[in-house]
Amino acid sequence: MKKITISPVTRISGFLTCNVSIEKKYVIDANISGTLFRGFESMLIGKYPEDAIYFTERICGICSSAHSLASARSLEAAMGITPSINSKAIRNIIHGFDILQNHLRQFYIFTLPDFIALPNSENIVYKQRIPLDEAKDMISNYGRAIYYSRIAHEGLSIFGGKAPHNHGIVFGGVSSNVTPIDIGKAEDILFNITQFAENNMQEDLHKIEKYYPEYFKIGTTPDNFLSFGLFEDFPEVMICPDKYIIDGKSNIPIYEDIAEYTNTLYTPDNPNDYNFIKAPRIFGEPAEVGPLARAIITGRIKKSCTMNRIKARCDETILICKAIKYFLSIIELGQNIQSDFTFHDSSGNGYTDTIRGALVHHLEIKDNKILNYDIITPSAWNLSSKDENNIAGPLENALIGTFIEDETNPIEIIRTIHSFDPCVSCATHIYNLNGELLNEFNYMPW
Amino acid sequence: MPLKKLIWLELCGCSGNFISFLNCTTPSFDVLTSQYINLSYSNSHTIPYGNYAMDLLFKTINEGNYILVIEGAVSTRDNGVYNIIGYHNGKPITGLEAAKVAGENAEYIIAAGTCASFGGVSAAPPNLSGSVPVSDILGNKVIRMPTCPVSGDWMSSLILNLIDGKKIDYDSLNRPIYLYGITIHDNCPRRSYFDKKIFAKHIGEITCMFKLGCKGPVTKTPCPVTRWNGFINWPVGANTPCIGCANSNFPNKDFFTGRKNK
Repeated sequence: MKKITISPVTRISGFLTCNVSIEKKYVIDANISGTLFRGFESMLIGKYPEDAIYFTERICGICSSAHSLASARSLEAAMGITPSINSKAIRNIIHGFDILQNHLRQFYIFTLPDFIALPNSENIVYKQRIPLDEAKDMISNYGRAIYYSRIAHEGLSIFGGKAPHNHGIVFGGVSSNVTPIDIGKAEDILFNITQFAENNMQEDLHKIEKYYPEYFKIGTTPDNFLSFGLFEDFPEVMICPDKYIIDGKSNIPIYEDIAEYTNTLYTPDNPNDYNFIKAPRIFGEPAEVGPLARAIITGRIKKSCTMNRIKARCDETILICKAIKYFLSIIELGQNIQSDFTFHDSSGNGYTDTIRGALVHHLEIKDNKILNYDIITPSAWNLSSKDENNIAGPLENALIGTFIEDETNPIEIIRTIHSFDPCVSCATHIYNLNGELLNEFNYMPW
Repeated sequence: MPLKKLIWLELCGCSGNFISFLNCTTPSFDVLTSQYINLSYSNSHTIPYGNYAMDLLFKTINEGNYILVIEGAVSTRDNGVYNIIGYHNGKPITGLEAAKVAGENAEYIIAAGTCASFGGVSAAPPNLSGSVPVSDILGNKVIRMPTCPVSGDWMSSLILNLIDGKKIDYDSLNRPIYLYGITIHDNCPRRSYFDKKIFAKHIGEITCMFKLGCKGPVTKTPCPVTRWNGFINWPVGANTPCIGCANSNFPNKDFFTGRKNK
């Protein structure tokens, strides 16, 4: 048996280490670690509740609007407020453009270099299967994707003020003053992205599918999937309902169904394992989350595997374009003004599915301040390490059984890791030097 | 002209400054990387992975003559183990060590964003990771480019002009004056409302945000002029107060000052 450490896994957000054991060229065990800790939730204790929206989005630079949305929803749940349907649609435009931004960057900048040889790649794709004349367009689209993901953030900024870290999602709704100019600009951006997603992105996906068919067979996870719902308030363009499929049963998931295991985390007493990713479990089971989980829950795709995970992201890009088009058609022109409010002692959960899957923020308010805050991120689900019962997380599970042709360049592992679109921008559950748990709730890889 | 090597080191932060950098338009990422810089290392962008990637980082450092951009604060607790950026020949490399080594040979060091410039969100109390600004580790030559994240346009314009050998003037905190010389308040398109004492009472109104806690009067950035995301919009333009994300005390002042005791 041979052990390989891959660190850093580049072309993701944050710092990921992958340790695998290989026997006769097959992966027989995998351990995933996230190696960044910020202690985010502890920073929120004592803050004015409304600040949480702008504060928590700074967890993650590639998917900030997701956190502002989940945070706003947790505040609204705590205060018993329901945003207007117009606010919900504008929020979905902000969130939708952020999803487009991510999916375009993820497929082209993070994933594509695993399948075709690009300049500066130091030959990691050592036996390129895609013929040069077919790869030529893909190389050109690798560069063009930077432009399309950039204009997706411009679309977000029209309604959100800036990206990353928008201002437009606020407690109770949104702040945007929608003008005909805004709609016109957003429609223009959306048209261009839609053309690129429907034509170039699909074409490039099909080439990868054609020349790398074995990835339909590997990278599978057990049939447990979870979503907190994406555009679930709008049946016409809903991407996924809030629903889990665990052990063949399905229902609406809630925060109380989830437990978080911390047995593999770094402590000063366990100094060799630099891991800050805890292991969330629903009814004791790990669950895959993200575009593929959404596609399987809604029946668009049947099977979990590496290639379907990539395909689900590309297909979803088109669905998001259509949804934004719909939201632009129904939102009203004019101002959205926040109502008067005060905070009272309460608690609430803010759920949403987002770029990488199911996200929930849980907060407690006391005396006009945040008493407690807990965040369970999508990447915590997908990248989770083994729990106390030694059950592996989805990515760890997906890697087992992978054939490695060249142990000095285990690109097969990298392809499956990238299919999950990992993001480890925050992690926070630690012990102090005396071995005491510093902050029970503090933990989040993203 | 040969391309200038550039190392983009992500440390203890959200990696959002690099995403913002990809959004740049003055010039665009495409023009910058084809005409001016060779992006020699970036955790988000570099194609080689694992030890190959770390080799690339240290090879570039050893060759010298590069621009170093650091985003995120430097995590110092327990000698930096709360931020490991990768393993080189089996040895974990902390962000702290990488910053020190890469800083030694760099021609310019740019702190991208408020975490790198002043500690920012990463160093917010209780600061369990022991995060400090880059200048605490690498000294006064660090160019500070705050805001959360820093605008890609400001970064790409600075990098291009440094490579062109233009003389950039800096203030006492080593911030480029062309970006951080004038308060938001002085340039605010809603200044006439302030002067007439017409203040927004709610988020979403189109008048002056001062009484909702706007930090524009104490924040020096060109947000009202360059705006964000290709000159599209900015926080006050979205009818919300500036939260002062470029300031050294960010995010420790309340964002919506004055509401807390309402």
